[in-house]
Amino acid sequence: MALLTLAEAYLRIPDRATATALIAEKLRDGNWRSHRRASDSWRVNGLTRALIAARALVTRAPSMAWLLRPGVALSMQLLGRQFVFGCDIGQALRRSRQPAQRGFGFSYDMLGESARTDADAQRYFDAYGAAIAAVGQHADRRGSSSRNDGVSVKLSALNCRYEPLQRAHAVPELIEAVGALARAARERNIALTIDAEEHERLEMSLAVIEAVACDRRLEGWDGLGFAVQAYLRRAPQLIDWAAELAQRCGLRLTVRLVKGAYWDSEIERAQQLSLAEFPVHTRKCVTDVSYLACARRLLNAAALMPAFATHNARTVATVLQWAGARRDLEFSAPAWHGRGAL
Amino acid sequence: MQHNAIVPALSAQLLNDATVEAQQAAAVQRTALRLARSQRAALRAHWIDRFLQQYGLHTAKAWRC
Repeated sequence: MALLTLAEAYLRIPDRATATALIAEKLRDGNWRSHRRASDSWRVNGLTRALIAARALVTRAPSMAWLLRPGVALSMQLLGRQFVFGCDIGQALRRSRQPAQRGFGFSYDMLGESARTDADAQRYFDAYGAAIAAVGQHADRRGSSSRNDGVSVKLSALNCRYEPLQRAHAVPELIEAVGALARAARERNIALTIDAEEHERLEMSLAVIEAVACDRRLEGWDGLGFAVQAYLRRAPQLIDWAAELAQRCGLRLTVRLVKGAYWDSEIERAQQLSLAEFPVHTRKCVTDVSYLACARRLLNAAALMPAFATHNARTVATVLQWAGARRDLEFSAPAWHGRGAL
Repeated sequence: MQHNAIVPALSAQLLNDATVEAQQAAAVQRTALRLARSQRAALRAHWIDRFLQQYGLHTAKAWRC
């Protein structure tokens, strides 16, 4: 915990004095001795020894914690590389070259907060456009877009009023923005996936997806997709809706099944609003079951291109078993939190 | 409102759809073990991954302890 809070907070601190105080506090908090010689890696054990020594230093002389700042900054950079693939699309593309040779494909996502102003939204739109152009440079213009890397977009980054009460303004603006990005992706034959966010924005996102999917200017492109969160109690119905939409619009829609990353805030929001029911499954094991149930539904929907985002080996094995001879599936394992690469 | 209450009817339908057929279970188990082995091997390949595991930084557990 001490290391995580240090990693999260350190890079955001603008002044040296506060950074030094944070280092001293967090290093004092940790029980580093319990990790002594616990690893079979000499580097890991060496780092543990360094943490023990640093704790001793800041306990005896907290003001000397400034001596540790360069080491902490270097460590944060090393850790950061495990959590973030690249600081910009160019760096991410360069880093993807080696895994790409081993047959891996990528869907590039941008980390960041929601747009707070129109200027933010324009900046994110431009960044997504630049990412599509950069990824598209290496794309094969023939065949399915699923053979190329893609870009994932968050609607909350593209509109600063992406909230239910502003639906009348936000949805048309988002349709225009996402439509423009989708046309750029179509031109380069790469995939564009719309990420899932909070449940209260779901209806708005579906309206955007439906309008973009039915845009005749995107005919012949199979790159449009969106994420479905298995922790949503409506997840199976969402897959049915996507299948119906794909048939109605005559396109192959990619549905990326994820477990969902907003669980805590969904629970808090439902409690704040005193809702009668939670929009999400409240137990992890039910979400796991829901994921498999949705996976089966996805595999049975002919108009959908299934994509599965999971780190769970048993889930992957089950989907592979159910898929049989099908080879048009995508599996993705988000490359963060030091989970390594399959 | 109990945040961890089970919704029996919903869960029953999901369970039905999620159940692996008996004749497929062994094959699923074999594939899962093979994938888990390769995943663990990948995690041991780099010292930084081992550091993250040693301190539990690759799981949500790190935020709770």
